[in-house]
Amino acid sequence: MTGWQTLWTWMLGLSVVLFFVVEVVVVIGGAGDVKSMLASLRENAEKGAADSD
Amino acid sequence: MNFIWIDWLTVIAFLVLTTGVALATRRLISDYDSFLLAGRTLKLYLAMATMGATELGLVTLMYFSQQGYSSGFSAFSIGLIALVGFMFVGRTGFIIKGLRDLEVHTIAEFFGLRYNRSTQVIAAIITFAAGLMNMGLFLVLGAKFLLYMVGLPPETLPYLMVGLLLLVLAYTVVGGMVSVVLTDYVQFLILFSSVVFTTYFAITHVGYDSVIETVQREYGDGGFDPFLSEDLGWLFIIWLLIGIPFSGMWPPALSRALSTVDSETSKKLYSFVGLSFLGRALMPMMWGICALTYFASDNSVALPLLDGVADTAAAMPVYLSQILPAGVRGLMVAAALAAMMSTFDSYLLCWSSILVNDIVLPLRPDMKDQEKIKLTRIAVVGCGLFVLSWGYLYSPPETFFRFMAITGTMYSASVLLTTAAGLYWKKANTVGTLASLIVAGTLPLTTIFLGDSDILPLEYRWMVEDKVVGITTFVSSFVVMIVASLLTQKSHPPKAIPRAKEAA
Repeated sequence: MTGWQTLWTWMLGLSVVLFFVVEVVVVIGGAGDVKSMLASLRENAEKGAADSD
Repeated sequence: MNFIWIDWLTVIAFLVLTTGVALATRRLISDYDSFLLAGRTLKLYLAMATMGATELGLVTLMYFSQQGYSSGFSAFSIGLIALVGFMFVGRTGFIIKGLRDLEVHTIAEFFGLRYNRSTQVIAAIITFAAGLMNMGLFLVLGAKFLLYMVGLPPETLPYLMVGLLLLVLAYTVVGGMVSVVLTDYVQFLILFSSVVFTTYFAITHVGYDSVIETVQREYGDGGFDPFLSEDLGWLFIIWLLIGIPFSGMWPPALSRALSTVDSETSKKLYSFVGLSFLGRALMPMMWGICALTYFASDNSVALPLLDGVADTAAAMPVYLSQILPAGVRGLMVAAALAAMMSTFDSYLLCWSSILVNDIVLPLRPDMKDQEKIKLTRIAVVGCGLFVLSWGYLYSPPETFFRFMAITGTMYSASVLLTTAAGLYWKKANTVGTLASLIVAGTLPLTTIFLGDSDILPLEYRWMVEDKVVGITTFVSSFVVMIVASLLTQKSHPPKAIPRAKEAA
């Protein structure tokens, strides 16, 4: 393999690993963020409804 | 038809899930901020999920795979440059930190604060025009993917485009950013897993050694060395390198940075999600390279033709439809739909919000929240109809990625370059900014509209090549900004940037 071929082979391997790591971290961490976003929006919506009454 | 019952079941289950999420979030929309920026409540991981899903669209898979098919491994340089760009923005907070601290809704709003309303409107028009043209190919590429993966007859392409558009419009109009963010989270999971699985199947089917041999045979050393590549070359690499400071700042991605809880979260978002941008480019490119290997060695399946020549954009979906096992094929189509919907809905919402916030609102500042939401919804439908027509009528002169790059330059070299000047250079004034916006907003149109026409004599065609125009646009925009600002300091003294509370 030439230098470029070796570089791109390693880059491809690295990209798969990084992609997978980001996926796992985001899916686990994102679940908590979804909960807190929904709570905050629900609170705003209820406040908005109370204000309009 | 390539699909069997398990493939259809997977796709239908996915569609029911995402549509249900969109409908369920409708009652959470209480004001314009909650419709457009999810109430600025995005924390880091959710912001990463939504940015990752938005920036990995079906169109991304299609144009990167076509680039891999056309340039071989040399195309990987594009992914590497994107990674460097994201790391730079994440580390320095270049532009994103300044905008987030000012609490603006859109980038053009900054022009209203730093310069005046006319500049805001012109910046918004350029952003809107570049964005809509860029998005113009989303539907046709998405429909092509589905057409070849499912194995439908080519004459169904227009119907598929209409069907996809209706699907996306339905839940973007109903739920706004909240439904976009929630569906992005689900789509992120499906999409990222499928991309990794598909890469495994794509490589193992043809074998990595065979891929290397085919690229060497078809493209020679240029298939690996981007500077020697006939398709790319050193001018192309320079063009991409100039754009590094503006990586990931296309308005839909930027809207994620503006939706985060603070500017430090925006920086972390770019640093971390940027890591996935290497794979976002390299893996679909690898599918395209594997498709090249497949079609070069197996003549039993023909590559579809477009106007009498091989349709390189069709290579990847045709290849995957032949090699993926039943079930995985359905998962891939569900992921592709996820990719298309998560990108398309965000882009529709983004361009519509620019139209409302930065073009209509400066002229009618007394609009109420409910009126703004209604107008944004109408704009979403209008943009969708434009994309449908543009995708059907326009064919780019180069690969699809190259078309995306030149429309990206139209925005980066005008709006982003002048935003950077406005944030970091005290002498930037309205005249310099307007001159720079007009120069950089119009030069790329020469490639878009003259690149494939016979108007120019053959010996002058190089002047409208995308890489030549791309570099010229950046350089001339920069020079015009500096010179015009310095020459008009007395007649048009620069205005200071207001603090966040004053801006609000």
